[in-house]
Amino acid sequence: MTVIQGQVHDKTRASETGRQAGVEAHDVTGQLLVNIRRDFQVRFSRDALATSVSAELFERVLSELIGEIPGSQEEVRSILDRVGLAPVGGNSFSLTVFGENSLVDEQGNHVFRFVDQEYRRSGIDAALQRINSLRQRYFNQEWVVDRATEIVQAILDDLNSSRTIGTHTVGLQGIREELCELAERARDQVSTNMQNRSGLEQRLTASREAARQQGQQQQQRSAGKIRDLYGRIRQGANSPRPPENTSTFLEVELLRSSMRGLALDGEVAVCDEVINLLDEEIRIDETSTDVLRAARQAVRDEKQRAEWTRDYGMAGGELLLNSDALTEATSRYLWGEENLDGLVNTLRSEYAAAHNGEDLLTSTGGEITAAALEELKAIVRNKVKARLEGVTIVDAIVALMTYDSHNLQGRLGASLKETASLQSFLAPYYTKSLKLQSFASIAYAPSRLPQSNVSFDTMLEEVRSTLPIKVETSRNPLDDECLLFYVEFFCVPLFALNMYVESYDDFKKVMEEPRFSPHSEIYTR
Amino acid sequence: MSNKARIPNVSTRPTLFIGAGGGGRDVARLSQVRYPEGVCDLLGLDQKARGEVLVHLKKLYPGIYVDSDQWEESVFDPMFAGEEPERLVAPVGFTPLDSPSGQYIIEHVATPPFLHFGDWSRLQDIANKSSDAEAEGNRLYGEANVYVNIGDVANQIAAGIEGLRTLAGGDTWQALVGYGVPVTEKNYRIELCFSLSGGQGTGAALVLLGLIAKQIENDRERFKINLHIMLPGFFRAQSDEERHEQRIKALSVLHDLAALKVGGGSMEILHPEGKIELTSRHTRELFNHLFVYQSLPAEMSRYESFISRTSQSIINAELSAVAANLRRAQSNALELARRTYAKKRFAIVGA
Repeated sequence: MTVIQGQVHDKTRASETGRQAGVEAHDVTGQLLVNIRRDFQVRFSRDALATSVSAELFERVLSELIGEIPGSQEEVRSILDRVGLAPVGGNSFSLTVFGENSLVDEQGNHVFRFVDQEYRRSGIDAALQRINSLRQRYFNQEWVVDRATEIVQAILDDLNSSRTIGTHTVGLQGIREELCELAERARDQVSTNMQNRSGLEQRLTASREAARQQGQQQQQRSAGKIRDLYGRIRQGANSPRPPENTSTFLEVELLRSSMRGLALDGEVAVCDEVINLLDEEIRIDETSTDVLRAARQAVRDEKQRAEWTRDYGMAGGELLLNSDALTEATSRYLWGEENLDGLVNTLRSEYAAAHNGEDLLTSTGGEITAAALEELKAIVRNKVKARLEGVTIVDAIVALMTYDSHNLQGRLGASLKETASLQSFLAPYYTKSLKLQSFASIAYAPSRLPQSNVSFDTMLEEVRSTLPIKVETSRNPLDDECLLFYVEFFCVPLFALNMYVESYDDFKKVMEEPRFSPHSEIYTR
Repeated sequence: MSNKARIPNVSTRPTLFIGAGGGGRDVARLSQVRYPEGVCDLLGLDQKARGEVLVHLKKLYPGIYVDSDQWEESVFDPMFAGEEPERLVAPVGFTPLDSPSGQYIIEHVATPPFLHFGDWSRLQDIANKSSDAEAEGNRLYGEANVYVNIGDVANQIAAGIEGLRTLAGGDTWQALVGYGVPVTEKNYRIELCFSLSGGQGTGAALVLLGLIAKQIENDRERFKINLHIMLPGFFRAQSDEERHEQRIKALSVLHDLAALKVGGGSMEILHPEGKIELTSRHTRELFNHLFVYQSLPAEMSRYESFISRTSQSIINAELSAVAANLRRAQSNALELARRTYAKKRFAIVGA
């Protein structure tokens, strides 16, 4: 206990915690002391991650399974080759699985099972890509349009020559019609694009400019309206009985609070439009790929910035690990670089166990039905969920640092430094006159993998060494989806707040005004 | 059931959340809603037990809200895709303060319910207060609104505080103990939240503090009063003039708080049953801790973001993994005292 001459504290209170002592110190310093709290969180959602990782894995598993349909692969390739749809590499042809219809080869074997409309659409897109690929090889040749038509016609012929089973004829007829449309579209797109090539870059520049300007225009419009309203308020305030002050003021408040959000929403929407436009252009005209991709990346960055700013405030207190990058990194982190064969085999054996021992491919004769796919999806989801069971924030961060090129450590360091800084609050001389007293702690739930903890701790130590204050680290499993950095600055004299210092002279003059000083008796008695 | 091993040195106690003005109301309400959920998260309860414990916990954290504006539902964006947005609705029974025009109050000052305005030195200064308006960003008008409803506000404060006193040892208490909730009756907590940007929060703050001080004057040591104030900046000011106005308004409140808490200034509150007088005995103990929250530049005009984060910071200090360590942390108050008195050549005894 400390006793200061002339200011003897009540013993009971003075012996309480340090924070309580801070309160009692008001008496001895003659200053109003405030505590300043700041925190910063890094969060991920295990549920959201499980969903996205499941989707990603399922797509890969599906590719593997399609490739395993007995006897089909060579025949599929053969057909695809003949119609100009041979896969470029890997298992990408698995995405050409169409709707609820099967395609049979000349011997009557099922070579494809059409899954749903979405994949059917993907198949059409794959055809379009192939056409564009050819167009790239024979760029600017007029006859490429005709060649594209020929290719599509070849697909149609092939479909026509395939034997069909019962009701599948109707489905194939639908495909035929779509492909006819495709041929028409391809012809139009190629000719249109060739005509517009010279204007392409101008359009892109204009689109990017529009994305940038929309937010500004939104703000200007709102700001103009608010200025106008303020004029009305001030005019009203000077009249004896201002009738509309309340509603006008409310309107101003609403406009002001929504203005920034609206502008950012606008930016995001325009960015989306530009990205779609660029995607389309890239698909149509691969010759300008580099320029277009750079433009698309620039727009995506802009969109990302707008979203961060809109939703969470840039480095304003939360870093959410909720991106495609985390999905990809987690997938690799949990399954490593191992071949997916193991997973596929596990899935098949689990499927067999649930179906009286019947193998997936044997029992279906190579026809993977929508119901079977749903079942597989559920098994994949359970597998992913099981592996994500013990995954903590440490695993998420380590995964991103290991497999993603984004400088997460740099961003984390910058954010923690910003949070630990008092510059925006305090007058500069405060820290010179009094040693800063604070409590700072980083709390997180450790990983179950020792090597991940080592890697994370190393990173954390590097970040901590750059912070201007002493930081405790505590491993605590209370919330394993969150890394919390908490800072509390104790007993800062009120007059050290920079806003207080900066305004003090001016402030003394206005304290005579009743609207700022409803309790004059505080100073007069 | 509960997993007590997961709760290291974190305890909870009867806590009264009070929100004044729009921003303060939202922060207090959001904290009141999140707090019991946070305690349940710590306990790791299953769905059934969680539902039962929540019923009792909500009684442990009552709330009082003082504002002259209607309470519309606020929606806070979820952090992650697929999650539900957080919806903040008005508590049952909330009614906004009556806010007649200043002229109406002046004209009816000789009749109830405005009799207590009769000897208010600031009465003529509210003459321009609009009809059926709120505080209009004016601290004085905000206080006038509270005075119009002072009987009701004082009753709510009295009932809320009395409710805290009776919670300890009661049925709710026993039920929570039975579920392993680490409740403590060492002291009761009052969390008063208001923003320094507008007129209603800044106008109501001192009156609310005064009413609380009067209610607990006989057992002050059993209460911890935390003030949570939000500095201006989370609404984008449109002009230098407005920015200046907000800043001066904020400073005027801080100045008053300093004069009361440190200077021991006296204060009076209008009441139909007679003025409530507060002496230095009350005002020096007006509150225990003062916490300030300031929005970062990126949060400018992002009202929901700032409100949500302020509320989360309040809860983190009580329930997060760092909460237990925070209670151990030492303040620099004594060092401040040493330096202050060393300069004045006062002797310091003890250590």
